[in-house]
Amino acid sequence: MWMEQTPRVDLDLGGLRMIAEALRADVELGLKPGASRAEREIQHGIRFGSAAPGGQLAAARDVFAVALERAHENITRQVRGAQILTAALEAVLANYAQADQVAAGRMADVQRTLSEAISAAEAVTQPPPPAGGDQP
Amino acid sequence: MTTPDSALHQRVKGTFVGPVAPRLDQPRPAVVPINWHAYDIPRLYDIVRREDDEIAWQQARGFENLAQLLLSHHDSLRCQRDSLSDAWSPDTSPAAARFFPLLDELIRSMAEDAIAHASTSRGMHAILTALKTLKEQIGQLKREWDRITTDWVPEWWDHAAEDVNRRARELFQKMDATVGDYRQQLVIPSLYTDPDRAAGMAIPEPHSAPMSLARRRSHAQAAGGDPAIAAVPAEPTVPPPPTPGHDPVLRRGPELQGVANVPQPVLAAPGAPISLLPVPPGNIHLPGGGAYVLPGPGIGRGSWVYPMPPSTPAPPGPGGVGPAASPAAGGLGRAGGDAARPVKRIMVWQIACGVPPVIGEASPADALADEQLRLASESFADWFSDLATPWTDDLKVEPTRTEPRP
Repeated sequence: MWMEQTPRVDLDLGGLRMIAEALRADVELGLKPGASRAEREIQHGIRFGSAAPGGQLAAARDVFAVALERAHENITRQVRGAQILTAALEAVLANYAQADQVAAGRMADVQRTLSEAISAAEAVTQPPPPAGGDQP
Repeated sequence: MTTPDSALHQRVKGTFVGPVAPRLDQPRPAVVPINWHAYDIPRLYDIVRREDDEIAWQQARGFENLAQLLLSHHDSLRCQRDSLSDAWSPDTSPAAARFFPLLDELIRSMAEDAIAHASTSRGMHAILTALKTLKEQIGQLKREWDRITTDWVPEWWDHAAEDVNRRARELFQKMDATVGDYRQQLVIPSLYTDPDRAAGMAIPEPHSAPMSLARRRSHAQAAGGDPAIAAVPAEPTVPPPPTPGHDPVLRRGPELQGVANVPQPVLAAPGAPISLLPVPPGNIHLPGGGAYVLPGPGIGRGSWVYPMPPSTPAPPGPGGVGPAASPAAGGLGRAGGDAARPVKRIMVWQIACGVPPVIGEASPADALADEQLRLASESFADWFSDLATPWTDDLKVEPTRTEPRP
């Protein structure tokens, strides 16, 4: 009877480890340095129409300013989000790997570890606290 | 293994043909309709002369590079996601069921950003190309403007100036429409977040103003990024004022209330920088050089000149020009009479040593005359720039000495 209440887990530990390693390499060797390079290329303020008195050129400057800001915000969050999801996956892998066999008690630890890791991932996707009223 | 999303790749490349849901969450900035007739060639040239900045082109390429980076990692993540779901099924693991929505949101965000940044790159490239072309065209017209008083007889100066102004204004109107079209390609992706798990969190309005430098730095630090990345602001520039007596805005409707930096008219009163043509030293009608006043509000028919003061290289400043202030009001002939008086305007310094010319022999008198002319031209350029374009300190007139047309 107790066998029916134990959660059944289908887990390919070897496959999971391979994917976690690939994710880690993608983030640390590809996404993160690529994002830094892109930021160095684009984050230089608005470099056109600086003397436009108005019209579509000034409007384009306004939109481009938001595009710059959003690009910076998103790529920063995407890199950190990917890092934390990778860390969450590695945490799951570590918990599974430490168990001789997957048991119900061990699974509770895995769930808790993953919850903590995912909460950390959620935290980085929240906007930072306002820095004060220093709008230009 | 999942094949790359061909529609996504086509949208990033800009080659996708098919229905795409319109984005309704894009910023709609207030557009101030500019009356380009309120601006003359020096003002229009001042607006466009700083364009074609290499860093701006680098930014356009940077957005494309960022799009390609995100597209590549999107594809990679999608493949790994499918492999992961085989090894760790969300159907049987509550932990996996919680993990995969977060991963899917990251993948979706990367795809959206890749499309948006690639479109922004193309829009930026088109806008920069339009501005580069405009700069070249207005630069040519500015050179024509600076040569009007040497290329044409006085009866034609007003007509020639108006013709050059008209052509420049038409080019600006065309540029305005072109930039308005390409501005639609500057796309703002949605803020990357998990909407289900972040219920109640404040999502910035799409119309929000760009962050200040200080806020951007603190934002970068809060996100664990490099604060130096976003610490290179563009130089602030003040737009040139319109010519006096003209409203620089076509329609001042209620939609402009609360809009910042709407250009204001300049009163047609003494002291305001009016529209002037340079008359460089050596001109047959005004050998000492001066400024030819064009018609306009507060000026009337214009057509008079203000000779360059003979002994004070410093200009009278913006308060010194205008019908009431000019000692030269009264007609070109009178100004020419003033300038006909022999006045020593420059000082030539003796040099103790030097080297002989390599090619040919120039007489000392010729060399002295050339040097005098060069110094006179430099002095004139400084004086005229401060007189005609007092709102900026680095816009110089470039007159050339040519024989007047018969």
